[in-house]
Amino acid sequence: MSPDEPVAGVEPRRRELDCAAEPAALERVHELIDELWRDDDTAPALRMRFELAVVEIVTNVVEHSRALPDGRSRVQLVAGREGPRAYATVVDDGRVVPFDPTESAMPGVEAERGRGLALIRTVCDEFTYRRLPDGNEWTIACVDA
Amino acid sequence: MELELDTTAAGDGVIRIVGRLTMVSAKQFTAAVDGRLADGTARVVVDLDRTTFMDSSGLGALVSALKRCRQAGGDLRIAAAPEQVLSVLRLTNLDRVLRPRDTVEGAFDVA
Repeated sequence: MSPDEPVAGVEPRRRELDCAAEPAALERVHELIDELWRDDDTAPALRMRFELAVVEIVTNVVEHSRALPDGRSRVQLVAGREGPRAYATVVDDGRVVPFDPTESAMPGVEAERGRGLALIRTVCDEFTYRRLPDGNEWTIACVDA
Repeated sequence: MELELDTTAAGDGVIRIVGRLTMVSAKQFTAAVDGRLADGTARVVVDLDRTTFMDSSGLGALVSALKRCRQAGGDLRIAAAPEQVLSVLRLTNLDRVLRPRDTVEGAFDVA
């Protein structure tokens, strides 16, 4: 296969993003996931779950990271697909998350906030969080059923 | 995301969400709902036919809008939601309070 040919869906794909943790980062995340599925309409349900989980994590980082003097932070995303599996690692340089995000329960129907982490738990087959010396690391993986 | 405003034959307000409803666009949607309420339109249909993606921030904006429409004596209905939106509604159990309706024009037909 020539380098110009689109990569088949089953071939490993990997993309990276490193940008300011501000709302515009969300648009970049959607574009990155578009690329992971470019010319490939397989596994739409996997994409749905994966895109939701990555967007929820980056939203959380944007809303809560406050590391730099100007109040903004950076967010790094590595995301890829390999066989039936889609995976992502998100690293930020933000403050301590004051609870274990992997244990979040779904709030009641009246709530206007607080569903993001519970959704990640629901749609991902793997979800880890750990505090780094100067930031946070989130990893997720979704496997096509 | 872009918003299109419309009115049903019965006179209910329609807000059509074109694109993604996320943290980035939630405020814009909230402002549109407030605009309809300020105009005296408290029965609002949110047309999701062209909504390509919704996350928990988008859901939060819908729940908030539902409450405000009801406080104003009206209600908020969602219509024509695509699979991604239906999936997120089910996963959060919100399909019980924001029951998806098939069509915009019929969104207020049954209670």
